Amino acid sequence: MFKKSFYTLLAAALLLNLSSCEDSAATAEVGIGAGIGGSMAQFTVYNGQLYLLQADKLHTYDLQDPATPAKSNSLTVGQDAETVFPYAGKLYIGTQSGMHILSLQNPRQPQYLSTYQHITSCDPVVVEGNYAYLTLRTESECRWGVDQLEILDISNPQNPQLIYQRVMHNPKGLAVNNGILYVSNGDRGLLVLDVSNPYNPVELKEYPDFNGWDVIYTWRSLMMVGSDGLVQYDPADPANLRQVSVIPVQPTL
Amino acid sequence: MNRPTNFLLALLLVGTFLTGCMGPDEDEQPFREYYRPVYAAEQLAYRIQVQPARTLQNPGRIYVKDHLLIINERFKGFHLIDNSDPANPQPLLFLEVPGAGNMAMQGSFMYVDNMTDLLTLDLSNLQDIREVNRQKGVFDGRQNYPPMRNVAFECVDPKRGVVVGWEKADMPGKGYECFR
Repeated sequence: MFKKSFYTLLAAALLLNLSSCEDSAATAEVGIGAGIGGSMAQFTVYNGQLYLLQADKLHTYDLQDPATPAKSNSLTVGQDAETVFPYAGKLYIGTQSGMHILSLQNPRQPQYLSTYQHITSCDPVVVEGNYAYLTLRTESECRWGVDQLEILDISNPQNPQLIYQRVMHNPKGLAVNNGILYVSNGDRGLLVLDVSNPYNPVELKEYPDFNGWDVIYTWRSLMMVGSDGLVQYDPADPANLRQVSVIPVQPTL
Repeated sequence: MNRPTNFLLALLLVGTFLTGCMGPDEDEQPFREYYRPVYAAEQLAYRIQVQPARTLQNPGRIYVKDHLLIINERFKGFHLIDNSDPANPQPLLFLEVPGAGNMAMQGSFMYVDNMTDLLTLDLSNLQDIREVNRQKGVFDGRQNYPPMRNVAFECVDPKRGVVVGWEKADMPGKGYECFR
């Protein structure tokens, strides 16, 4: 008797759960709000503004009417700005010579706060809590740069401090969630690090099967894109990611 | 007496660096990477088209909006995928946007780059995707050389259309004419 009602309850709960994350099977409906980009993004939507990088400028478009972006600002952020990442009221701009932090106190008018300079290379940046994670990579082996991961303490956004660096194999895009850092590492695939202590990251596991260029974390799926295609992992256990699907690259001959 | 020695030493050092850089058998071909222009017909370069889903060839940036997964096909457009079930992603369609490399969304509106223009597309009905806004001249567009440095490339031939992007290719046996 108890068992039966328990199962009925369970079934009801399951159904409720299903309907609450309802999606029609054939067409992925899209709701209000912004989506999630990878760390290589040059466009980002944050708090009703569209920010986009173009040459040495960051353009801001107001999305009060999202069908008609209205340009509200243009800020020179310097040559070779490559990536933009929004986090907690700030924008983090990855450039070939360093990382800029911009304040979005006025979302329509980003204000320059600081720059963390590094040697010439290419760097996407992601942020969680008081720490920024950036990868530096050399595009060509003839550059004198290095391939490495750097962690910055940004608790004082006016004065970011390098707290950790580690040589890596041509690292590219990255994602961080809840103290776990996912680094796409070119031909070496995906490297997962525990950064709950950002002064002393611990390598959890390397997933070398697919070329990695950028990653996006969502609680449902960790997605990595690279020259082999798009691979998705169940992110439940970062030390043991379970590959759930692949959309392969199929070059036309 | 000392100076020439130092100079020679310095020369030797520089020489070591240079050879290390170019590799032992690449004296004739200092560039390792070779790129080829991707062309579009001039009259098609600013036309957006919805096409049947197709396979990935040269995937670039990715973007997630609710259960919609978007994969950029570099310089060509976007794969739209229903990712309600990450174990079984369902391709929906291919959105052809010449030159496109970037995207972001607010609600059902998608912002993309089409050559020099910033486009707003309404995805509220995927059976009927509409271009609702076009702002001209926001981006520089593609140049007649690849954005990467220290590379060789196939020289642009304007007769073949406008350059919408660059793809990696094998270094031709006869060598290269253009480089940067």
